[in-house]
Amino acid sequence: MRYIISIESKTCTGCRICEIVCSLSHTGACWPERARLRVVSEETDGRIDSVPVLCMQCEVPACRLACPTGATFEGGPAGALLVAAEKCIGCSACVWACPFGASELDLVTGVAHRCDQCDGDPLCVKHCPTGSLRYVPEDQLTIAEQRRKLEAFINIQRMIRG
Amino acid sequence: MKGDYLYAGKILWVDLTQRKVWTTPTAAYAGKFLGGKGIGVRIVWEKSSLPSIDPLGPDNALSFNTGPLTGTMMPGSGPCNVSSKSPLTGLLSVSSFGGSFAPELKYAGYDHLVITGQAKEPVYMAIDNGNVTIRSAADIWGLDTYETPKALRKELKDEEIKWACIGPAGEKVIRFATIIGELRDSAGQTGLGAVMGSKKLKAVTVHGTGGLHVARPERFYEVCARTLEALKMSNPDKTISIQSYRRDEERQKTTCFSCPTRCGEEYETSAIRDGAIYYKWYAEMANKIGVRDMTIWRELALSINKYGYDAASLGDITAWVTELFEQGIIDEKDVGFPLARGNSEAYLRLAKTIARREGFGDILAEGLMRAARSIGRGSEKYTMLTYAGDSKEVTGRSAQFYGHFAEEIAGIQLAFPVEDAGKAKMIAEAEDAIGRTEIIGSCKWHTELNGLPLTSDVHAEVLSVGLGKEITANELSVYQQRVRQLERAFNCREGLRREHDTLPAQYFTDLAPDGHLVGITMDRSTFEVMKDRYYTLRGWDLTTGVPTRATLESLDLKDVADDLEKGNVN
Repeated sequence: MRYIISIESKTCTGCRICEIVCSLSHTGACWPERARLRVVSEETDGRIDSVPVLCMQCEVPACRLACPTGATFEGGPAGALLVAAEKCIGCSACVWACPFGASELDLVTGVAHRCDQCDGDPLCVKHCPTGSLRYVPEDQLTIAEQRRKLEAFINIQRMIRG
Repeated sequence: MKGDYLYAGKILWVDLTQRKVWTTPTAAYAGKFLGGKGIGVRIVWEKSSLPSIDPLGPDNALSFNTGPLTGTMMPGSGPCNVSSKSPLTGLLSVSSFGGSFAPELKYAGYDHLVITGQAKEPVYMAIDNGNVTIRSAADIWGLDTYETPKALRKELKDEEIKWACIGPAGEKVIRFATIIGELRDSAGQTGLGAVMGSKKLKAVTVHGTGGLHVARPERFYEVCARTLEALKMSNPDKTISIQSYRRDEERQKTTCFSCPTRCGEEYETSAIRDGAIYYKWYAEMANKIGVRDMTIWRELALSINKYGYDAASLGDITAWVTELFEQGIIDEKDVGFPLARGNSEAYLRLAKTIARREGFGDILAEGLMRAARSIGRGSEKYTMLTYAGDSKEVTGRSAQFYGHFAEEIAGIQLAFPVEDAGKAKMIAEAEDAIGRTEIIGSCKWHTELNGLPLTSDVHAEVLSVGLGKEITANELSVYQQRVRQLERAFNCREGLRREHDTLPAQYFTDLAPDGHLVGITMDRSTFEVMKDRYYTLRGWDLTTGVPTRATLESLDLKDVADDLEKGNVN
């Protein structure tokens, strides 16, 4: 079963613990710039909205299709889109192809990287203080989303009826 | 970079008069003062070294400080410490603001940013890793703290910058102006924004892409993860965050970098524009001036945020002016409009006249002590001043604030307000716990005082595995003791003595007009005994209150003792 890290932007406080944990476990340094997920924040009139951006494990992965050397492959316990460093030539094709901006060239090595789901136990999910990141089987992702839509629908009905 | 674990490695110095920028190694200071406030206080001790130095003049140094843990996985590693000589008190000024400015400064390669001199025209500083520029702020001077970052992002064409800036209050050198960061949290007390304004420095922006190396990454991760999970379990939201008064208006909680504690609140109201508020303000403003209308209260908070001045000082001043009005010492002719306790509209108007230095507001903008002096007419009697012009302890860390935690560390009996026996020790311990967090680069809320699992043992352990050399809780405590002595030495060099360590006169005459402590006052001789106890704990001279040579030398501060002697401070 494929697993996906689902993102709930509504509760994300922008604390960036996910970035720090990710960089520490992958590079041995506290180095957000080299993390495999980034928290993007936007400020509007003093309020800050934040959302973590990371690999969505596409069904038809543009990164893999774009890769000229076959460096991107599905691996790990949940079929994450991993990069075989020895095959990567650092051409950025996957970076440009990714619809989410979740593929990046590493600042130091120049090799492409993206979320590898920490071999089935993603540390970002484990330490997220608000539960904004969840590690879920892909079939459950849809039903959760559908339930959210239902809630929105009920709210609209309430508003209409007063 | 190897061998320089946790530290970025450099101090960035800027002389705004000469428009010169240079760096020196942090290691020259870190051995003795560790980092954060420790190094920040040392820098101000060295640069603002003469009592004659005007806090609002070019010679005063303004230092932005990060500690070894800043920007790491250790929870609460976001705040930026700021130190300088205070234009409000003339003594040492230390405060901090949250967000991710400090981590970004380290990622850009700098542990500290020290600003001296004075620009001729308004400027701002842009730090982009090794590229540091001083730029004209002609187009952003006058903008509030909401408009400023927007303009900076546009001008620098960089959405990823972190920033700290002053608002119109800082530009007008209001003596209790603040430095505001991206979460609208501010380095609030003792007028650091006025120092920045006097240097004509509107803002500092940082963009850094570097990282902080860790000596033992796996162990470091383990300790931080353990602490983080324990912190989540201890429910810090309940302990130190604000509880929303109006759930329907709360948008979401906000937090600093690398912290699970959501102590800020963003709100949405239809009546006013949106904004963010931090915990302390409820205590500082709402209680002091009795504003119970949340809409007006938030509008007041928003205006304080945008102009950029201190809610605590403003609360003191507003409460004081209201009392003067009630006592008939001042009237409508002085103020320009009537003031009545709890009249929110009038308070809002008063806040704005202060921020703009208009009319009566111009007098109040000088701070409580100076305002009382220029109003005269016995108005001093109603100030709740301790020494040197503010109602708070010099560095803004008043132990009174931790009163409700006293029970936990001292027991119910000693926590009782008029019980004096254990107070000195309690204050010293509270100061040491908070001081410790400030030198390692952690949030000052993150201590055992707040019932959190963040003791000196935990801090020593995380530093040890991060730095790759053993630091015990005792050694950590020595750093803190040294910094505490240096803080005191700075103030003594400026003329602070035993007689200045006092309480507002009301404490000795009529402490509480009502409530369950009515009729109880502080006895002067009891108070002096408490001071004796505290001085003894700290190793200060009982007659003068100055740190003794023996105390200073035992902490490897012989040069400080020499300096005090040279200035005839003893």
